[in-house]
Amino acid sequence: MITFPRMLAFIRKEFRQMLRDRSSLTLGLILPMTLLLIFGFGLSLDVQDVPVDVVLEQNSPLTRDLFTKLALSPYLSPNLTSSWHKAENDLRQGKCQAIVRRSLKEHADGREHVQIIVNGRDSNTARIMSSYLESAISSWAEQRATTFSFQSSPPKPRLGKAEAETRIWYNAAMESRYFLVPGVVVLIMTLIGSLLTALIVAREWERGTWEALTATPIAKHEILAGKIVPYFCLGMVGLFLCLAAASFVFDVPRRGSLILIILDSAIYLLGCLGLGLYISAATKSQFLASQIVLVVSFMPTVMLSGFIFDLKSAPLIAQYLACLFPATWYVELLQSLFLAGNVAGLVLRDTAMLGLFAFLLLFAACAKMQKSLE
Amino acid sequence: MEQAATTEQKRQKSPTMTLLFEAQKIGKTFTRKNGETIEALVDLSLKLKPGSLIALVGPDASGKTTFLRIVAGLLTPSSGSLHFDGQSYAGQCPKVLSQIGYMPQKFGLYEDLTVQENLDLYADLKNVPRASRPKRYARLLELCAMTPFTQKLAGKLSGGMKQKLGLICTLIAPPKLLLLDEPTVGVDPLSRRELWEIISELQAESKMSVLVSTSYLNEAEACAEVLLLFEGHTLAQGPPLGLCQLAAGKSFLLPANAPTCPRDLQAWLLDQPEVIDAVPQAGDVRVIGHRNEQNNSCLSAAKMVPPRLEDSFMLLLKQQMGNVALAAQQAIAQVATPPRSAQEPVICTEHVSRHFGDFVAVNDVSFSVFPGEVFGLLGPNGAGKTTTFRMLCGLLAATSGSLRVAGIDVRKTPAEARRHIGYVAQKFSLYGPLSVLENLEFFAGAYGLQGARRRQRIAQVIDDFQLTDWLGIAAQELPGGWQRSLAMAVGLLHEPEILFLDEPTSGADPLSRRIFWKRIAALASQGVTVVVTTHFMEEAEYCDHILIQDGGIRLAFGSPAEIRAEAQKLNPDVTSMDDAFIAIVEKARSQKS
Repeated sequence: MITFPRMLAFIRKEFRQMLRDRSSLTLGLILPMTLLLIFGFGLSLDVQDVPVDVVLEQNSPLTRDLFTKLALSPYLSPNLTSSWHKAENDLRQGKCQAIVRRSLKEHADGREHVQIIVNGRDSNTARIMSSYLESAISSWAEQRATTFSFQSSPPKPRLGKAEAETRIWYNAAMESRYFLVPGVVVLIMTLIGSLLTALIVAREWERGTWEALTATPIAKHEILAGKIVPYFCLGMVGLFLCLAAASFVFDVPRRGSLILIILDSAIYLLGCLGLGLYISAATKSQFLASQIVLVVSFMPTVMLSGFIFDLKSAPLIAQYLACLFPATWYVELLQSLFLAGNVAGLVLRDTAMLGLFAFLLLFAACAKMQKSLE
Repeated sequence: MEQAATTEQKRQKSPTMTLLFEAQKIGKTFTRKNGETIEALVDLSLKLKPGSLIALVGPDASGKTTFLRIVAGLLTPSSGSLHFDGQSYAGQCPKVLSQIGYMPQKFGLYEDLTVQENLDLYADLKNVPRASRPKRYARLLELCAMTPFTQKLAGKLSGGMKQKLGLICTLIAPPKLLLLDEPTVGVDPLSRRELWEIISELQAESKMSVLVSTSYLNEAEACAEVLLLFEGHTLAQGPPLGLCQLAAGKSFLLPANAPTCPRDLQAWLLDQPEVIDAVPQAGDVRVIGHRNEQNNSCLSAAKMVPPRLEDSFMLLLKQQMGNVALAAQQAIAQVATPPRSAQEPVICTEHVSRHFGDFVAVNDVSFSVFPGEVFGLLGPNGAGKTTTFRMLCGLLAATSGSLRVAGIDVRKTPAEARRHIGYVAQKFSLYGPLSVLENLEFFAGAYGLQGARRRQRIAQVIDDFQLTDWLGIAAQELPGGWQRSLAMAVGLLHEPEILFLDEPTSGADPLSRRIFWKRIAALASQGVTVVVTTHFMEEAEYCDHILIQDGGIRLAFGSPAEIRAEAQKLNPDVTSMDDAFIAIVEKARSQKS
């Protein structure tokens, strides 16, 4: 039996406390915006303007042609050098990330050897760099072959040769920002949802107000509602700020339904609130609660959800583990709603998973919120 | 016997009498994490008629709070039954809870809400109809003189005001039963008296019953019935007058003759076999003991006086605790008092002031303390005692004036001065998760003790404070009294010349306060200067000199006898230190306004 005036009074009190507490507003609004800006502008997984040393042992038009080809690529920034020794030194000191050297020997049949050396410290970047370099060089080679065959004999139709045509869908420009920004939205929802609420029941225990509250006739689901509503509103404000920033600041395309995005975010947020409140009620200590939230909610969101590191290539056990965190489903859902559109099967499955998590966590929080001191 | 007799009487009357509340054979056991079970309450029975006032008294951890929490539905009893207005209940029962008002020790205010918002919240939580609110608010705010402060944040109120606000939040829906858990701990005598006035006035208006736990036995004496708990067992139950009679013929007053101060006489008396308890009272020493007519006993010169509740309380507790308490007391070695000659003062303050922005916390205060003295700093909540204290310890810089401690200018070289002083804060400020021994070792290192001296000092304080059995226990798990002992042991590790104690006895029961003061007397007799603040005015009798402050201004300074004499000029009825304090502070406040 919920008594509405009582519940409203409690909600009002929580709102007042939230708005008067500078730290909760900072954590709820300023931190998310800062994160969004850092991840949106500062962090990029794209490989751009990579310094490449091109060793010019033999100054021929063909070599200069190769250099021009590399310079035309938006991803590379080649630098001519005549000494192998200097290039090697640059690579060691991190002044260049790759070395391209054209072999002096020219084969009789016109075959060429171009050596590519890539700094492999960061395996991912190395792989991307080498594929950029390879594609630039093969386009140079193709051009060269055409010229070469013109010179020797008339062009022949190339029989039995298959050609691969690559198209990149959903993120044609391969902007990492496009999938990072929806990921940051997940991070922010998690922060507002779990970290802030982890403090608020523990705070009542620490300040001794829980005892006075317990002695009043208020029911525990009224307390739960009182704790959820203000932080849900704060979380939704955060969400709208993020969505606006995604569209207007970062130009992230939104191909799926806005309503679905908002609805699923609300469900995810409820789950986070449930988790935060459960931890808060279970630990009764603000410090402990915030530490636990960092470990069980924030860290998995960053590392296991596929927000930055793709899960498909993770070990199987990590993939199974990731399924236990609602953030994983939410990241997948948001990235596909933003970039791919409304994919009915995926949206239904992920929404159902989020709903299940939200239900279980809220239920657990309500069960843990005992009106007793035992 | 007493208990049996009173329950028997009640049983005969009860059929016609309507009871508001009844607890029958309530028991409560807790299980610790290591599987150990603790009996917090055993077979407690209590009947409450409408409009009655009952006090729960007992030493630390005797089960007072547990019982109040059971009545308030916060805990479920392990055995026994509870009835409220004829209805049986246990734990959460909204119908019953809406008629019970409970104020926990921390009074449950939201410090980031204003006074008015706190009132509104509790009114809503307790379903007070909107129509009746303005009248109720006006009445309650007027009662505690808080009408001008409704827009102030609760966190900004003084300790006494918070307590009163906590009380009226509890009373916002007129309860049939009011439960108060130590409402007067850490509150000065003035605010305490006001709190009781509010309670009795409201009780007169509505037939509200009040169940209150307290460590002030003079408060319990004013109640209709007293329940004395000890380790969960009911030691005595009945009207205070009847309980007082337990000590009839055993209460004496022994005058302290000029060169001996009451404190030393009391300490000596406590070691006598025929003495059960002794405590300084208005220049004399009050003794409970058996006067043996044949022997030339120390009590033969004593005057027999009518017993009071505290006498019976101490009598019963000492019977229960037997030799344990005695051993604790006697372990404190009493050294013969060296003659106190007029020496250089060890603390000397002249015209000291401290400002916080526009607010003047301490205003032009001067006093001196001599070596081996016990010096008491008294004043209502917010009088500037803690500020004075912190300035003396070099923890806070004075805005103006001169401060010399142990001959060192605190304003110039506070670190140097701090080596000569030990400081025990009001709040428990040791490392909770560290064991007793680890705390001692850490603080010994922090005070710069090394090698043999460090080992010797640690062994010495362990011995002095009887910490041997507790060495491996985490400090946060010690019972309250032992935490206080440990804090004091830490403060004495580096053998300071001066020991500062900020409200060391706040919330402590009479028994542990006796042990505490015996220790202080022993220290003073060894030449250590002790500066102490307290809200127990009768404890001022242990001091050689006291300073009464209010609003940062020095109101009175002198020996307890001088202070009493000064107060008697204002009000001839003054006998106790409590009355003297109230008379002096009220006089000063009326002059100010």
